[in-house]
Amino acid sequence: MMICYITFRSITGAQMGERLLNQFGITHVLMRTPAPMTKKGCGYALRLKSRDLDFAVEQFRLNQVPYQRLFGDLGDGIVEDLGV
Amino acid sequence: MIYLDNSATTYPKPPSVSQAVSYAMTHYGSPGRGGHRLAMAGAEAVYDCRCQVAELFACKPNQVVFTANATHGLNIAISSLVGLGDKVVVSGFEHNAVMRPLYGLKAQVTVVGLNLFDWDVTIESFRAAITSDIKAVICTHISNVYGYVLPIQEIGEMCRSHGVPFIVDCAQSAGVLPVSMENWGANFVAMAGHKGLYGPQGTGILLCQDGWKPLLRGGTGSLSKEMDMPVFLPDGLEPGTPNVPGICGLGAGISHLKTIGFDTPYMREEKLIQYAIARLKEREDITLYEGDHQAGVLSMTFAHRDCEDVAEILSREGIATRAGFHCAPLAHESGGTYGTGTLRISPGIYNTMGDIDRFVQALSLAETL
Repeated sequence: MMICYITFRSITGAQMGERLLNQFGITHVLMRTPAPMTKKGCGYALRLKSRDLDFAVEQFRLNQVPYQRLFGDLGDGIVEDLGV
Repeated sequence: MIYLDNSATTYPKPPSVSQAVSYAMTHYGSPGRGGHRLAMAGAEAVYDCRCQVAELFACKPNQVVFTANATHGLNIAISSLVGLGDKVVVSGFEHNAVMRPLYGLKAQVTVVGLNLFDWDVTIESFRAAITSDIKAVICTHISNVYGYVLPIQEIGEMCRSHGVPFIVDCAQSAGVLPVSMENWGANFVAMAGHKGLYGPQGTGILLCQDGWKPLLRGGTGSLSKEMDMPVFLPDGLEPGTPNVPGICGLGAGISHLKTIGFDTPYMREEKLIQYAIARLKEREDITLYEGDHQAGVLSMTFAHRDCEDVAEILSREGIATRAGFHCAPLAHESGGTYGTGTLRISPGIYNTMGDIDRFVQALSLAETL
């Protein structure tokens, strides 16, 4: 798995996460949440390399960044729900 | 034009404010809706301002809700906490932005702290009125009529000890005096963006703790398939396309204050108010409303002239002041000017002692016309 997604209900939450990733120099893209990762409609996500996921989530928890769920991109449009 | 009506809205704005507004209108799309470059640039700019506000008022970015003005924020706060016929305690210096929503809710309103510039009486009267069955205490930080700075810290402590929610109206104080939702133990702090923060008109901020309820409902760019409003901030209180140019201008206004120093407005205004008092004190035909705990505003009445007459004459002389009841009849009732209204001057960061001299000189003219 090369690419992971951290989803957020709100763009403000995603931006809080983005600023934190910037502080640590973690490469990422802030984007709209792909449809397979959201049952309730629009949201935003941070796309990053899977090697950075654990560190990013740890920092989000430490800094109370309100992320929603984690997903992995298995390729060919298949995504895996990695939970919270 | 000598502008002494900064309590209505600050004027002029720093040049960077209109530049930011213009830039936003030509470079940004709708934030929090799409994922394209313009939308994301707009979202980035709005979030920058949200972070600036959060830093200035020591809260988290998602506790910062952008509103159209302080009135909008106060309506959100009041409708979140006060139901039909509920008991509420307010100060004697509240604006109609507080009193009209309470009237609309048929709230049982206890008005306390009627003594102008008197903290002892104010504190004691709040202490006597705050009981655990009160749904909210609402207090202005600075009276827009008299510049009376109320003892918010002390009132907040009383609310905390009784478990009563506290709403603070900082329309006049944000950017002038320190404002802290956390230190005051306030549930909501509402403020204008276009006054002491030097943003454009049509901007405001509401700082929120838990316990909020949506005033408006609509699209937020989040959880679109759900019919209920989001239960998280700021989305739950910011439906509809935000005022991106205004918010960007507000950010520029705050940046300007940071550059000149956040204590500069208060110090400058205080100096000018004291100078005006010194120059007018000998005039027996003018009653000045001044005392301890005053900031940014000086009200006055005239023995032989109506306030509106004087304001009109001053306007013809190129001096902008505000006369009348300032949308705060309760404050006038408390301060003893309900029958006449007052003429109010409120200097800002661009005023000088020379402006006060011209004002005093023009007042002499008003007396002779």
